[in-house]
Amino acid sequence: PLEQRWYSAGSDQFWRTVGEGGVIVNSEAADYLFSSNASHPDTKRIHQSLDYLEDRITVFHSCFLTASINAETKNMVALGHFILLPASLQKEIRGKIGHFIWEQKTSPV
Amino acid sequence: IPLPCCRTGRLSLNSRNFSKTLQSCQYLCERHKIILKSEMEYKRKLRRTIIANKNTSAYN
Repeated sequence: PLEQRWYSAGSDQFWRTVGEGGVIVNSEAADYLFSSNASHPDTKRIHQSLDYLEDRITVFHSCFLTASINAETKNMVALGHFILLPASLQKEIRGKIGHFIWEQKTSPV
Repeated sequence: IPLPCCRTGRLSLNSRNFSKTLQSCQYLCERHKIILKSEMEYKRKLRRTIIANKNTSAYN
């Protein structure tokens, strides 16, 4: 199977959930970066990093993981729907496109 | 067929290649167009701030 390396910003519940699907590593080595909070210092750090500015990193909302687990086929969930944007952008974008997909299940970030 | 930005199947896309993949897409849905535009504007602003700070600190 394809090796997946995961990183979840901050210590939230998804660390454990993710354990089955791949190896949890530090943020530098991870293929997938998840966070449930754009205001968390770890997430902020990523959103201000050179990698982010130069389009080498995207943070996804941890809800992707729960959605994938709940979906009948794991590959039915589109990763692209779970982009976690910098906190300062979220309000502006929400005004244009409505709520983010993860906001239906959790309280606003 | 869904547009590339909304396609499922997580193994081909990840945090490392997502942004560049999105930018190279010829066709994006409205949602992703808006997201991409705002994100690029954010990055432009931040880059400018970093450059400005560097110049300021050089004189201090």
